[in-house]
Amino acid sequence: MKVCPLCIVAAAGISVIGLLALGGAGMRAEAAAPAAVATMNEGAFNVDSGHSSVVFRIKHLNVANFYGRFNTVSGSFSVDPAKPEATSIDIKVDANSVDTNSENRDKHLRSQDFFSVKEFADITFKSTSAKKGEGDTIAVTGDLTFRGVTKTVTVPVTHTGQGQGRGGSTVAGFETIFNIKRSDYGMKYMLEGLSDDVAITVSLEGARK
Amino acid sequence: MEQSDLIQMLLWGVAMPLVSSFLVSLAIWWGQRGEPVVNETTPWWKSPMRLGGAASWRVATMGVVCVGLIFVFAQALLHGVQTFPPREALHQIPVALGIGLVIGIVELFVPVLASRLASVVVVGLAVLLSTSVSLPKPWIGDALVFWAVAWSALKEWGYSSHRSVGLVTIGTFAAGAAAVLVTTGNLKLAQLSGVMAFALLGIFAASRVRPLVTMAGPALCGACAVIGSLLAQGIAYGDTPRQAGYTYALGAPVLTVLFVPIAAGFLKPKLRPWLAGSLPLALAGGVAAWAILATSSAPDSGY
Repeated sequence: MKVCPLCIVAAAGISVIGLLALGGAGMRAEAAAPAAVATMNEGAFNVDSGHSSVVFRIKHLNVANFYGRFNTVSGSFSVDPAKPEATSIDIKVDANSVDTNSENRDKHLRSQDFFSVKEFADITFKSTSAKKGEGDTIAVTGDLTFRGVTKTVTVPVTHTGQGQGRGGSTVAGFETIFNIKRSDYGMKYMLEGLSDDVAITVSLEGARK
Repeated sequence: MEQSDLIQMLLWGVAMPLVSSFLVSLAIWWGQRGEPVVNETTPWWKSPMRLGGAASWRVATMGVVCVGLIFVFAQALLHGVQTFPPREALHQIPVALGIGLVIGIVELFVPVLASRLASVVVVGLAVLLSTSVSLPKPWIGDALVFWAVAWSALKEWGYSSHRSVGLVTIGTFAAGAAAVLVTTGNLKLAQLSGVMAFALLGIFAASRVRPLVTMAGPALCGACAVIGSLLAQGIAYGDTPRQAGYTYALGAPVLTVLFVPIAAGFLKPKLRPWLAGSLPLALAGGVAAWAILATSSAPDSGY
């Protein structure tokens, strides 16, 4: 049988394009993710992970609400009900810190079936604008990045208080409750048994020295 | 797990790949006459296998449809349409499959690539790439080694006088990989390995009806690329222990190629496929038990 040199070149080309797609696209996706939030914005409150809660609620088998949490959150925020437009939130949740009171289930949640934490370690929210919302709330719009997918969401933020901490620092807090569809972020496993809609409660305390 | 989830899994992950690959294989090989030319007395560095003319195209088409299209279709039905360019590692499996199919097609029509010497070079290159080059994703290096070893070992059976041994080995290799992955908490990866196992079972069932149905070139190369990638992702992103993953991914195909010919002298021909199938499954059982003891991560137990 005659071998067509053009076919070999074409096949090699397709293989190279495939290899680039295997590696390059993933690298681009990672590069597009927001940078880690490590430093405090000037005048902002640095998140105190020990006194903050990130809780999610999902419906199991369409019969009961189930709650889980993330134990590690970092970043900074500035929430002032008097100046809603100046509100800024920049936080990072460690997906690996998921906690549902069952070690086996947590392992499964960390796998590719759900959070895929070795691939997408962080869940981040970075605000882009804010304005006065309904009642006492501030409507904060920002980019929520989860499993490599970034979507713009608007969340209602409630300023929960401000005062003096034990070390002399100024402390403040806020809370927001909002819903997402997990399938929008590529988490499509067991959509029949575990609801697509997930309610997220973020209640943070931060300190400013 | 809700009943509708289970029904969908069985429908798209088991019935669809099994039935469609069976029917497609029969349709593609319908009307084929004669046996492929087989020469099993050539020196070790040469390929003992050649297919000619229409048979080459049939085996290429069967690979692209049964292992390629049916697998990608099943993955889309089970886990949603994959993004391109791939956003997450799981979406990169069809890309790995595509590369495997292309290499398999090229090998089918370029005789020198089918030689055993080429297999040695492929394995050497895969090891070199995985150990000395900084690859863009942590699983690609392992996947290259797993694919190269499995493909080089299992293609020996493709056109031999005991073709069913090859089909059984690659099918049980996929099924065993599913067992290893499910016991280490990677249900999606296990599901995809199961899809591949049932697609290969469909081809095997067709070979029982039409003995000329053979699996080599693209189908074999594509299947090895998928199984290797799934195991490598289980190691990189899941809880599959690296040593356990390597033991299975390298051990199952190599053991079969080493021991089945030795045992062939003592076994009736009908028993050889049973031996070929039992080796990967026995190894998978041992590796799965090892992984469970090492990680205590059986996903559906305890919650």
